[in-house]
Amino acid sequence: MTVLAFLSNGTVELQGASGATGILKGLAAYGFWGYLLAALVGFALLFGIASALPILFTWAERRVSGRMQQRWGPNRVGPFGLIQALADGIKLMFKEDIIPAQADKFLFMVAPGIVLAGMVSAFALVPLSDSAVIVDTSLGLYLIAALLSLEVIGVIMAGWASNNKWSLFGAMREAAQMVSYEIPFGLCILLAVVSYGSLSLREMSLAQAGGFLNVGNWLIFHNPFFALPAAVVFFIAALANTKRAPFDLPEAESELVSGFHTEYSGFRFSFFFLEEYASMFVISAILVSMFLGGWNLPFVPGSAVTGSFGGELLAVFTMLLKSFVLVFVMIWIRWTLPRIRIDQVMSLCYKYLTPIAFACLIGTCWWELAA
Amino acid sequence: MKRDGAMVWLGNIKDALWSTMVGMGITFRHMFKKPVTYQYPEDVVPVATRYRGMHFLEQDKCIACRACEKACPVDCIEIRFLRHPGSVNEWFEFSLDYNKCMFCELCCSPCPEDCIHEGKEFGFARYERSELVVDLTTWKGLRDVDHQRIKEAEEEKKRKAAEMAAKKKAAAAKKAAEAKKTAESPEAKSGPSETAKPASDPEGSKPQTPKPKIPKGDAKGPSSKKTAEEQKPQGNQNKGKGSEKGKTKGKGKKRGGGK
Ligand code: SF4
Ligand code: SF4
Repeated sequence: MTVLAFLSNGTVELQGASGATGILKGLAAYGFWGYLLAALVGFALLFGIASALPILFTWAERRVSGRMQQRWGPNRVGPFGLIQALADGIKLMFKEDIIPAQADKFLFMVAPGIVLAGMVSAFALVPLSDSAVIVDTSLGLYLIAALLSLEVIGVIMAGWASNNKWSLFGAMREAAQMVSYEIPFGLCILLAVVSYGSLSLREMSLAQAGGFLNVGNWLIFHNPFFALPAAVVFFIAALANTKRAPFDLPEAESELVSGFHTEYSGFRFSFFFLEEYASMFVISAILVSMFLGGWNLPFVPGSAVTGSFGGELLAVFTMLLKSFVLVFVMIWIRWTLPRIRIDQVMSLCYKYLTPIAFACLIGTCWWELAA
Repeated sequence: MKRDGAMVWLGNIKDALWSTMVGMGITFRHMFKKPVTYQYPEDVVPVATRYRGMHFLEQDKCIACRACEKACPVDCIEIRFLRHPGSVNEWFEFSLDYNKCMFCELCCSPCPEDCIHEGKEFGFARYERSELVVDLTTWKGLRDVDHQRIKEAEEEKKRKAAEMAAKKKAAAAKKAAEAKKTAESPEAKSGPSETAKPASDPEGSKPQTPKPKIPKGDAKGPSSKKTAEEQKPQGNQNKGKGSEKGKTKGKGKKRGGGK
């Protein structure tokens, strides 16, 4: 209750009663049941988005990987195989949900839920445009970082509860990797916070409007010497956080037989699957909001019209486009680079990314003071 | 250049970024190339020119000599047919058991008509083993053409028989006339003994009459030669070249037919 109230209040404080948030705020006026309804509506909306995007991304992943390997990729179900992922989803739903006899049943059943819950909540904090944001709090980035790192708990639970050595190996790798990469990840977030003086992703996007060719105020151009490397570091850390290749050690099909979700099947497996693809989008959206100008359309001065319906639509479109480009880059990298060893993962994090992130953070502090 | 100290660190970063970029460039370029895979059931997958796949039979050329059946080391060819006059075959079965066949191509080489081949079809997935026994015939029984040919051959036979009978009759009449003459002639004394001979002679000369029939059988040859010549151009069209071969083959067939 208090959390919801806090989130709703945060919303109310920061923006006018428009769009989805306006409706939610209106509902909140009806006391407990209003809050409940608002929460349910919000959840349904989020869950819809969070499961619709993975359908698109799995399709893109398969098509792109196919073309990169000079295959066709899926092209049977629907035009260009577009409905393939939907068909797979239906298949997964009707598959038997197997729980191993020796597994810790409660943890085994709860783990996928925790993984997905963190992801879906993070969706609520991503601003697609000035008003197309479900929850806009003054702690946005902090909350997102916290929610994304919830995932590791679910993964460790899944690996432990499966009572399978491969799963446990996968979970331990995930723990080591996530905890390590949280450091450069957090440092890059800190860099953005230092630059904008705010933790709200919405305010960051607003602050990046205008400038030379409408890109001058993007953080990577505004502060090219430190923000650009930081953006790269953030992207690499994001790859590791979402367990995407070349950092897919927790899954590692060829050595760990899918790692922490070896024992999962059917609908529970699809939770992990959804989480991976949805988090690709969330992380890309954060990166875009922090470094790549948010919803501001490049090279079209004065396009940052917010408030009007058309402007908002354009903003949402721009934001989605930028995020999809980053998702494409993630897919691209996955099908280019082989998986790296766990010691290489660690040395990359501690010997390279963390010092670079630190240097960039200090540099940015100096840059902001000088500017 | 040997790196040391901080240069190792910077060099590693440079190498990592550079190699990643090179790799990504390669995958990006490959994304716009034409896929090399075939959409199997729809696309025709090219195979080598001498690929040994499912057999196909040029049934109109096949003379049902069973050479292929005998040559097959695993006995997987089964031929059932009925021979009609005029070298016409009424087909019942020409089946190949792909449960056994090992695609050794030994059945193709002995074929005197060069009409059984191994094709390019390689999809042998079936739901049951019995479905792997494939009948290669394109038609069963007799076609209209075959009926026609049988009829012609029978008519020819009848005509020949009639001719034969007429000739025999003429010969007999001639002999009879001659006998009469001799009987009428002054040396009638020895006549009865001679005339008695002609009476038994037709029987004695009967085994001889087939002998002149053999050349006549050869005379019948031209009709079969005609059919062979009718077939030859077809064979040439199919083969495209090697008319010499066709000719020699035709001759061989004639000889076979004569026997
Ligand atoms: S390919 Fe060999 S095994 Fe197959 S039918 Fe011909 S002779 Fe027999
Ligand atoms: S060897 Fe050739 S001509 Fe003889 S039966 Fe076989 S396919 Fe027919």
